[in-house]
Amino acid sequence: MPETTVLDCRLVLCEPAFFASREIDRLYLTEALVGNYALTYALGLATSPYATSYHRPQYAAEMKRLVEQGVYVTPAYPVSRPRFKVERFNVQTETYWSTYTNGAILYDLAERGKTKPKPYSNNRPQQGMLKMMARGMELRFFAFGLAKADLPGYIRLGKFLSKSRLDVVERRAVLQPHEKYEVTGYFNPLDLPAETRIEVCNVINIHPVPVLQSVTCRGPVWKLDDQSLLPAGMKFRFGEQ
Amino acid sequence: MSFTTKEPFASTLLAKYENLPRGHYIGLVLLRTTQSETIFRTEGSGEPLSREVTISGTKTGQPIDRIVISKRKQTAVERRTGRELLRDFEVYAGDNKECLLNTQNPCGKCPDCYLYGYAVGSGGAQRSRVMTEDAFSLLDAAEVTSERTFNALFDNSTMRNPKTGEPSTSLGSSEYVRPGTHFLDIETLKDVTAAEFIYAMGNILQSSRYGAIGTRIGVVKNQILGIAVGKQEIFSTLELTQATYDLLESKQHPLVTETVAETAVRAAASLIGKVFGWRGHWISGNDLTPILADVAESYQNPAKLVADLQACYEKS
Ligand SMILES: [Zn+2]
Repeated sequence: MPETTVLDCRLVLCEPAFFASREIDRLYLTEALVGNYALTYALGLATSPYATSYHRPQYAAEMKRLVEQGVYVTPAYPVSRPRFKVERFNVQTETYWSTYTNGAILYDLAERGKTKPKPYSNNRPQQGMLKMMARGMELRFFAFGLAKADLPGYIRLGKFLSKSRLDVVERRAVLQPHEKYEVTGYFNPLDLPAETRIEVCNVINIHPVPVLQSVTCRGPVWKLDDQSLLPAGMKFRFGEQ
Repeated sequence: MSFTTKEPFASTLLAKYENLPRGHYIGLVLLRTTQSETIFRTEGSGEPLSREVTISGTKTGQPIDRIVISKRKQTAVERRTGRELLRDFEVYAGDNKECLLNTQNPCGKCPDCYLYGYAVGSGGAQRSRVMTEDAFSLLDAAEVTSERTFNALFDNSTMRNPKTGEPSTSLGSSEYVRPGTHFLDIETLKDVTAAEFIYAMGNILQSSRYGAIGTRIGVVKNQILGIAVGKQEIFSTLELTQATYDLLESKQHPLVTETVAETAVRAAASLIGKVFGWRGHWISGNDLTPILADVAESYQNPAKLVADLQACYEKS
């Protein structure tokens, strides 16, 4: 049977981590997971330029090299009951003077004394609530095609670049050609090979790709030395086979 | 000769700003000491002091409340300090429009925009190369906070009712962080040039107002205790705070700043050895003196510093 080494990675959040998974009115929700694209960038395996004219990273182009090298990272899932922290946020200009008017913020001191000041319109949300994964929360993910030394001891996660500690254990994995099995943790359905059939699952809808949990699959599977089961043949596919 | 041309800085600092990440990290380990009564809140006014239950040390394991300086509150202060320098040397003069933080029209071409980043609604963005962390009080919140009561003010900010002229009789109370409270913190610079490195350090060393600001509150003194130069990040602020707590003999406010600084440096030196895969350089104590002297000297000639900064972004 083919064998390989899989990295069993544990993330411990040193700070609350925020991903804008969903928005409800002025509540910004973070799901208790880290998508595998976000994780790949956070680990430094893929990079995007500091200055971008688009919000969306160019996933397929920036992760092409990883696909060629057989590097793959699964989404991170919470190892115990998720804990969250809810915090109010209030964006204000950092100028010396500012004030609120109808749906806008004034910040130009020259407008201050005028009876009809010219407001600067700002359609970004100015206040709301953030729901973040709490400090100390632990998540787990698996990495293929890498050695332990390829990964750093600390990484930054989410919109606020929250520091997280990374603890890595190397595990031997043996291929089981055809089984019906329950997948350990979460995975990205786009990254599954065609020969694997999903029989049962829960879908967590997050941006940019949904993540599946509690999945029962049929197909070839890696059995790790701690009995974890991961679909064989996963790679970054971006919806292509 | 400037320290920036010597190792380990020579091979870490970039000659020019580069748009693709290189993974060169500089971790600045900081001690922030309050010099007056100070109020750190999560957001806005009316909220209590920002605090969190944490384990006291790595060996002493009881939970204690710590005051937290939110990571999202730190660079705003230091950016403002830097922008004053940029404004003084006319970075924003002529064709360069005024560049405003947290608005939708940052200029996108000043050192502040390049180093600390910005985002505009229409889609353009520059990711920050300065990363902050939540900072924790070394001691229990019960040790480092106090509360005072005051006669509550009316809406017109006076002690008298604007309609009746009656004096206020209701008492309010406000909790504050006591002067001489110590916070350990880390700021991480990524892929910076020599001028940006000096500018970021100068902004930290010259910023003195944090949290809620009033005439007699919010004064903080920042010290750089150590610099970690390498290809990766170091331990977290909470790990540093806990390891320092373990080594402290007294756990009672007030602590002598010099003692806290020495203890934190010892804790950092031991923690850095445990960072997985760490192969970088850790600079502290006497080795830091010539570096800090160089930074101070650069600020003797701020026009050159600003010119060096702007040169980082010129297309060659
Ligand atoms: Zn600017």
